[in-house]
Amino acid sequence: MPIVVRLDVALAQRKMTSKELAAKIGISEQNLSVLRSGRARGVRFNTLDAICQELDCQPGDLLEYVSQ
Amino acid sequence: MKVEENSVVRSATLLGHVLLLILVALVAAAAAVVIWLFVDAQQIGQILAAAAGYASDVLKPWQAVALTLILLVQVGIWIAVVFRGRQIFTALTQAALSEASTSAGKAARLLWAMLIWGIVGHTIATVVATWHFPEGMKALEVSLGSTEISIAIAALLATFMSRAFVLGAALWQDHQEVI
Repeated sequence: MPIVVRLDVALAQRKMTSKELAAKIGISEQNLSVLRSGRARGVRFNTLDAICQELDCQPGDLLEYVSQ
Repeated sequence: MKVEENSVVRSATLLGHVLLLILVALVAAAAAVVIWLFVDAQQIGQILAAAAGYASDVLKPWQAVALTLILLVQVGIWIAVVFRGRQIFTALTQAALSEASTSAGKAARLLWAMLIWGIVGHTIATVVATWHFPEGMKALEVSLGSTEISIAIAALLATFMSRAFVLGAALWQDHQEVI
């Protein structure tokens, strides 16, 4: 898929683990792992909102379009 | 709308048990008919001929056997329908919507088969039951009544259900894959 999820980078920059983020935004680690690995078919706006709020970033910092 | 998942699973489990009881009853009824045929073919033949609308005191053994076979085919289709119905509810208790959809589709096809056999079987039964009647009294009857209409409605509902399950399965998959 040409949309790449950069959540790993954002987490590393903030020295936060995915487990911590999952607990803070209230989704399961398994679902967050699906999102991080790019296996998700879509992201809900409220999930994106919670992640951006917690990591203090913009959606564009988490998602990148890579032309193939 | 929030659906209480446990109550849905409980209802599906309960309906699965009810259908299992019906399945057992149908198999027992089929076995009883076969045993009855061997014990008193004449009697069961007379009862089935009367049920077809052409009561007769004397039937040849082949007529009794043919009428019983027509009944057994009908019971067999019923058993298959109930079996598929049970599969639908078993799949629902396991949240396997695509399996439920497949079973509902098969149940719908079986209900259409039941409708066709209901009409064709009755026609054959009238021919068999009146085979020994004098010329001019023999019958070939095509019956379309409330039973056939009910089965057609049930088949339509099952067809609709199978499509609804397909849509439900797609929605469920979307729900699972959208984070």
